[in-house]
Amino acid sequence: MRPLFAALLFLAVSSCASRPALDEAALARAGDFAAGVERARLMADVDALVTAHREDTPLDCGLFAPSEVDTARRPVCNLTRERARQLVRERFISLGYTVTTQDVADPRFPTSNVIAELRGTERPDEVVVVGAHYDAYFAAADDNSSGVAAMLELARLASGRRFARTVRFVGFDLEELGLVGSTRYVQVLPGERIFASIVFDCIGYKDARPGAQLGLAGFPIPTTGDFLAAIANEQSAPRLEELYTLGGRLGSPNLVRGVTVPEDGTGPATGNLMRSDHAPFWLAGHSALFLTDTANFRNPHYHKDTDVPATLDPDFLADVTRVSAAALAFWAEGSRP
Amino acid sequence: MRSWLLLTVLLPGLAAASPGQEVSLGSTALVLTNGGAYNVTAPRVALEAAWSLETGAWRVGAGVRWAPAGQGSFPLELYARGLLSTRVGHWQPAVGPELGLSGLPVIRPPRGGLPEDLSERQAAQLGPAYVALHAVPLRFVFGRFTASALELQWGTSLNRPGSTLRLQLGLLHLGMTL
Repeated sequence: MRPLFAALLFLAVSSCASRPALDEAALARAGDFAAGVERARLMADVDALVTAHREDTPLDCGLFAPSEVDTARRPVCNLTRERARQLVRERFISLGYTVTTQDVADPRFPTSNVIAELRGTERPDEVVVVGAHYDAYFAAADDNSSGVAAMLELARLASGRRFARTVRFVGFDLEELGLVGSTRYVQVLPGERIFASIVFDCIGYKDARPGAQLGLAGFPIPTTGDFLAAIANEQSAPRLEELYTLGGRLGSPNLVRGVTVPEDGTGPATGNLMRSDHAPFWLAGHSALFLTDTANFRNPHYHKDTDVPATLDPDFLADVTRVSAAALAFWAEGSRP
Repeated sequence: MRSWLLLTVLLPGLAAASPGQEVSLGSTALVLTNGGAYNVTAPRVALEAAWSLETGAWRVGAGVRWAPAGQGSFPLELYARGLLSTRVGHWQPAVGPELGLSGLPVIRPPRGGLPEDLSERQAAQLGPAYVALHAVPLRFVFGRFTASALELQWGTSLNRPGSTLRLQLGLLHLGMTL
């Protein structure tokens, strides 16, 4: 029986642990790729996404029984997605990608995941997925315009480049209502060989004051909210180790704090660690790494109308995007012109 | 852990146990969780009826639990159990494995009209069979009658061990040997 209960979760890696030796040439290529991340572009994309959400019409509130929903946690009558989806799709197209959508015609909650793919040159059957949900409550600067902006920045950097493995960018729909888009995405690709996947959800909020970071029971984490939480299952544990190494090489050795949960990542002690689009990947036994600023455990604006761009830390967002870009290049084995 | 140690110390007395059948009725509180957002977090109170046969050191048996407010369309559990027991005067503690089938849902559909995709997927991955360790630390025998309180059980799903946690506290069981 696997080690199943709360006390047996592992704080598997930290910034002081020994790291595996990685190929220097690949690290150098990954570093070069990541150097292209532009803070100003990221924030411009956050602003554009926030504008899209503000100008959008919320989902029909009649779909829900608000008296039975904890609307402080899930303000379901303030959920928008159409314009953000359009923005993501148009950006992918403008970057030269062939864009597809995975549409599910559910009578109450139809979803449309937006997908841009760069086919691998040597191992096209092995896929590196970069995902972020584009639906959001209110203006949604941190949750999840920050994550979508990072995905778009990685797509910009990867555009026109060659990778050994297939790189796939996915804008997930309706995460906020229960990981709906990602669940449907995983269901239609049961046999896919996912070498690595990263899911961005809330990656732009930083508060380095002691006490700003709330803890999760059973997880020894710092009290300062100035780190990126990277949450892995056993399938993605090697990717987490590589993320650490890459963070160190990019001059951010203390940026990433990681947790690896046993086996496929599911279990009674991992409820709070399965609150984003990586969870369906875990349930299907795939490698998935969840990157987050820990959302409501740090950000007091979580799911509120005060989640606006001015509350974000652009340098933090850029650092997170940079290490993610390096990871993408390293895992997909590129990039080459 | 202490009941295990005590049981080891008392094992020489096991042979003195006399064979017999017992029927019992009781109540129990059950918690089933996978840690997710769609759990029934409150303990589910169940009524229990069991039969057991004592053969030397072992008491083997089967039973049924019914949790009328346990949710699900079939809120029943059927189980088989083997308990290694000893006897010191009136006291007869026991411990052993339980295998069962549970109709009590670990995952419930989200309320408020929210989509059910994830909860359905999670529920579909959890089979009805479970395995558990059952401890009976406070069982007493008075002639033909037995009383047991605070029985403890710790278990998980059989098809995906570790994906769910099963905790059970037996409140009170009263029995009679036939």
